[in-house]
Amino acid sequence: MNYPIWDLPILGGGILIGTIAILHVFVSHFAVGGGLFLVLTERKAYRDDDPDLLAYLRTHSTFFVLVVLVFGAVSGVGIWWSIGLVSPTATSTLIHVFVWVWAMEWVAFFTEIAAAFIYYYGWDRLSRRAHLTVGWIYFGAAWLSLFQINGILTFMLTPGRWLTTRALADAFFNPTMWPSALVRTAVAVAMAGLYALVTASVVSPLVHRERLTRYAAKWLLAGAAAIPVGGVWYIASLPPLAREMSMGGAPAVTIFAGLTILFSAFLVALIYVSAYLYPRSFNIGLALIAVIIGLMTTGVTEWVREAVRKPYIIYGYMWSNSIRVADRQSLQAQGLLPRAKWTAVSDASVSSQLQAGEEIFQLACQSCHTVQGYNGIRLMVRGWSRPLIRYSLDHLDELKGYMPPFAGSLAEREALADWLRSLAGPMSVSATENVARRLQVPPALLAKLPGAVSTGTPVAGGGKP
Amino acid sequence: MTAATLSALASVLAPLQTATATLPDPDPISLPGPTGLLMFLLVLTFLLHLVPMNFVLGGSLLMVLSYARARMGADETARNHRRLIGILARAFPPAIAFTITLGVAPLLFVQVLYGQLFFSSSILMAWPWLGVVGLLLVGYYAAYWHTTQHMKLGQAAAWVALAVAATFLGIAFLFVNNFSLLQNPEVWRPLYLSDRRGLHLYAVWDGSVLPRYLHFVFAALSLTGLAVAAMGARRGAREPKFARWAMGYGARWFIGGTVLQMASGIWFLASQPARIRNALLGASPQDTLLLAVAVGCALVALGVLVPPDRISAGRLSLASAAIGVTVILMVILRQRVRTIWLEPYFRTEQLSVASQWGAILLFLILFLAGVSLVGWMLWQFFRSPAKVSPQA
Repeated sequence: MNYPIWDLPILGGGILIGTIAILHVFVSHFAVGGGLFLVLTERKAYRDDDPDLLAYLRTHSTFFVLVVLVFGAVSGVGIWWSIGLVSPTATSTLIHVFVWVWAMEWVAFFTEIAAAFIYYYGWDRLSRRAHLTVGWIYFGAAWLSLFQINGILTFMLTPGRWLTTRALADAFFNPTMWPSALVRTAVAVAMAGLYALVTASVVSPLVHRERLTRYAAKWLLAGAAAIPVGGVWYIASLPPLAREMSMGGAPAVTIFAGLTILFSAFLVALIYVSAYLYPRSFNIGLALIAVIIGLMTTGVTEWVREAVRKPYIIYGYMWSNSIRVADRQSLQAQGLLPRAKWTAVSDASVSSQLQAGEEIFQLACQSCHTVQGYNGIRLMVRGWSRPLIRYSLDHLDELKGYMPPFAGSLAEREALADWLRSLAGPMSVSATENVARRLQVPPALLAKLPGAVSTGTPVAGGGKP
Repeated sequence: MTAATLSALASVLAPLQTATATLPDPDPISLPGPTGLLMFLLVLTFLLHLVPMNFVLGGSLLMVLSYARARMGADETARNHRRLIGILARAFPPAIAFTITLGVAPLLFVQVLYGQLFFSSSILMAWPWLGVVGLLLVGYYAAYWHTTQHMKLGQAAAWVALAVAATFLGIAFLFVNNFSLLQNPEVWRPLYLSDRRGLHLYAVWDGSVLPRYLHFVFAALSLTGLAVAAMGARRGAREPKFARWAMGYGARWFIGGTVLQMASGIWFLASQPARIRNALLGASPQDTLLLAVAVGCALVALGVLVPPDRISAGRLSLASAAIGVTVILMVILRQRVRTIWLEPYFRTEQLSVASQWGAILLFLILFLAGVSLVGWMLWQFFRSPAKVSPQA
């Protein structure tokens, strides 16, 4: 309400953020684990007096720089850009609560980038010892950056005692911060192995390729072994509703949570057999398949992490639609439109109902729904009768646990119901009754629904929910 | 007061009233540090960002010009231009990396101090603003490609360099656009209500955007010219002929860029609303003094380096010091102008403050540790000369 709402038809803001974020997460964990891989492997090469391993590392470091310094850094900026455009109110909250943590993260980022360049350009310039030290500085700074961002991210799902104390330490050291840091560190180690498999798979001669492939596979398997430990701890620290949603409460979320486990297990099995047991048969094609599965795993896992936070964007403090929990009562009494600064109408009771309804949709629903596209509302309400729509608006949070309650006034509910009804097409008695049963609308009301239509032309049996 | 006067007054005040009505409220969470400290960090980190940013923008333009000149013949000047291309190209990847890294901090402090303005203006131009990220990715990878492959690419390298320059010119334009839009809240609501898809390119509305943009681009050319001259001065002993040429060439760009920058500066000043112009031209003594000293130092730098053919290392140092003062004062003045611009709408002093002193202390400790570590790594790097030429 405070900010203009960016109208992103078809796509929706969530998909935009998600796309950039998943790509960034996939690279940024490599940025951390890959640093540890470089420095430990370099140390091993010196200890074993292994020039072939050293030669491989130099090539791998070029790949590392091109992926991490360019794509990693720019996509990280991209997340910041997109969250500010799609969810400015929540972004502003995170900036205000954590500005000094962001500032510290900036120091880590700056040090990390400087160390990466000096490491990369320093192969022929620095002493072995200095080069290794620069490598450790890189890894330390990169991990610190992960640790700090992890504190902010986990705060959004489990703000813990911050909700009452408003203290920065409570916000940062929140209930899921440590388990999530453990999981992410383990993922970073696994990612180091995954990316190293790509560069190892093109090494010649074969004897080196085999050795390097098996070495890289060990990194992936070691990281993957630690993930379930942190994972169980993480799930145990989740709010009950979030845990329920990933374990049957919300079918889509449960399916994606299952896919996370399935993809991870498949990736581990693939790498164990093809790269660890039979490294001779491993090739760039298999490495790229592994990378794609790794990206898919990252995608579904991050999607689940975002989804279980619903109906909040900051748990217990701000709903997904950027309305603060504390403002709910006053908004229900006074309405959204009088407080909205960017709408063409400011009062649902005197303006055109449809125009007001559309504005209310933008304010209260558009952060998760498009009109017709991702999570499109037109398809969702197709064939619904007006009383059913109106009933749903009164019980959003009870009907669907992952939706926030409607925060507007009674007049605004009517306006939104009218506008949604205008999208719903011909009223379908069967669709309305099916949905009403699924939503467990009280029988007394159910009996009245189809017949109580005020808008739309009833079409018996037509339309589908 | 006649009805006509009242009506005229109302029409003057109307845009301001609208602007006040559409200005988002600041975040209800208090500022986590003193306003002055956050403002100081905003100005300081923006200043740090300017150093590599000017080099990236100006360097990419000089590189394109060097390609054009190098293609015109096989004479010594053409050879010098080819040599300069190689030197600029090598410095590009780290320069871009530090432009981004050092740009993150001022953007953070802008968001904490001016978030309600910054988010609003960004959303109005959401797609072009998001385009910054895409352009950056293209420009960055193209710069790496150019750096590592320009010897092999032949004539195509010039086109890659042109693409790099075009992306950074584009990014600069989008930044100037957004930060101009940020301080003009009176146009936000009409823009938004006319189209909510975030497609507004603001420049067409504001006569001050173009001079502001040129003021930055010419500054980048001027400062990169100075950097080229300084690079020549450092190479004096190893490659005296090239060094001499680079010093003269760089100095000429510095002089040309600075003269153009002053011209665009006058245009920029003329395009400002009267209250800003007046403040800088006498009404606000401290701001007028800032501007006068900044311009004075630039004139000193110009005077020291004219004529460019007789440049020496000593004169170069003096000019660099003078222009350094100009840059610092101009960055401070930029913040002052923003403050005066926004006075009718919003003052940062209005924000409530609840300082997180522990976190501030931790940040300062970490900042010192980070700077020390980077300093140590650079010392390690530069104290040992390259055994073999770097990979890229």
